[in-house]
Amino acid sequence: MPSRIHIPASTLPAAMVASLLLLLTGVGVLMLWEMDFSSFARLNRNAQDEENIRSALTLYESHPEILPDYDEKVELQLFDDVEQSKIIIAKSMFGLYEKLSISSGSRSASFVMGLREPSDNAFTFYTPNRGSAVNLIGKSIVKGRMALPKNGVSYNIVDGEHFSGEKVNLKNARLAQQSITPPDADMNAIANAFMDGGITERAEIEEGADTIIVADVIEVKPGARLNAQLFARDSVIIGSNAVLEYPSGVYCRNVVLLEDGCEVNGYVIIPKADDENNPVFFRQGNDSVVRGLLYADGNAMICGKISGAAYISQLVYDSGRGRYSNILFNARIVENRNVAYPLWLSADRHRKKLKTMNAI
Amino acid sequence: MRFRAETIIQTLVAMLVFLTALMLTFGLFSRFSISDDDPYAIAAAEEHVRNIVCDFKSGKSRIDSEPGRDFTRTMEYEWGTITLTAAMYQGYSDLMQLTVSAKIPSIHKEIWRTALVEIAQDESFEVW
Repeated sequence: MPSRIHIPASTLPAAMVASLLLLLTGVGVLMLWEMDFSSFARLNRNAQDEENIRSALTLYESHPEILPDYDEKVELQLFDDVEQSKIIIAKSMFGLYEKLSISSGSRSASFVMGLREPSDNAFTFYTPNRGSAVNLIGKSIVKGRMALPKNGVSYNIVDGEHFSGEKVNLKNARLAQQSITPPDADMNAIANAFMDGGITERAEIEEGADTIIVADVIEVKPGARLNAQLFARDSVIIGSNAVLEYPSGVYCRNVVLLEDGCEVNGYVIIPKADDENNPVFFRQGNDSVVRGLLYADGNAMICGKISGAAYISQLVYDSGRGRYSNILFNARIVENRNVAYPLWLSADRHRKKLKTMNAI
Repeated sequence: MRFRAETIIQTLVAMLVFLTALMLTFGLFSRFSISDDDPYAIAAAEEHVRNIVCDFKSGKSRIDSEPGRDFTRTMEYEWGTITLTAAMYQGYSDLMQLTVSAKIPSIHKEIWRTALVEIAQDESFEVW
């Protein structure tokens, strides 16, 4: 007699519940396993995205020609053998600097860029060859590559003050042209564009961050501390002990006065005057510092420190008892490899990061 | 109220299956969420990779090989190995593509970075 297996109907839901539980457990375990691997992979990927941004920055610093046009996004595969190395890079003008934006995967950052060297020939001190030597008085120091007049330098006395600084190493000197290096035509046009149209007559400022200020006359209040690029049609006065933080700048078509103890970290540019009978003028107070580029295509009285590069058309010194030409009185002009320069004398040179605006 | 013996057995079996599944899930959950990764090994590998890339970027380290020739070197550590490969970048003589890969055999994982490095000129450096 064949055996009869009796399975009650209630066993089916119990078996289904048990199977479902087992299935859910299996799926849960697989998800956790996947999560563990994907979180590790994601960490690796994010770190590589950040590295892609740094690598793109290095590429642009060395070869700015990869990005020929402003305000145009370029997509690049950085490394042929690394699939996740796609970046999107774009540049725009930011005063006389550039703003570089880079994104890779889920990461993005932007940087303020300048030039690694002030000009094609990277002089620390350039004053044109108009015959007379540059006279060093007091504690003056000039160090770095320089372009000098045919008669070089001499060490003299003015108003009873002898030379007591460091003698110039003329091995680093070249013969200068009859005028200082002219600005890059495109950059000159960009700077001029800031002055077009109706602008504020007078601006008195004491604070700011990554700002561009345009006015006829700009005055930075004494003791103020800010980060700004100032564009003025007539004059700029930086009050005593005020600090324009790196990267800042001053572009002015007429007169720039730096009062005692102030600092401009970035650039001071005074282009050649339209009227040659009324030359532009730069005057630097005692113990004031320009860290970066000083470009004065007119008269300049240097009494403080230029750390970076100084391109000066005519050196002057006013002692109160007399006005002298080709004099550096207690002036220190020294090279500085840690600063970056504005895009003024050349726009095709190697770039250097001045500041990270939006961190990775 | 009357319970059939059959129903009680089914309930007990279902409870047993459920509890086993629960124990298994929690066991695996802790195993995978905390993971059997060796945190020391991962941290050490990550730090080594980052330091090597930084040293090359800052010019502190430099490849001592003929210009334009690819370079590969493997170093052993107590947690695993690091392989460094360097090659000229897309024909630019001043740039180098650097790939640093750290393998951690105990947990079957690999950390890697590919970076672009500017070839240092004059600074003091450590030769690889």
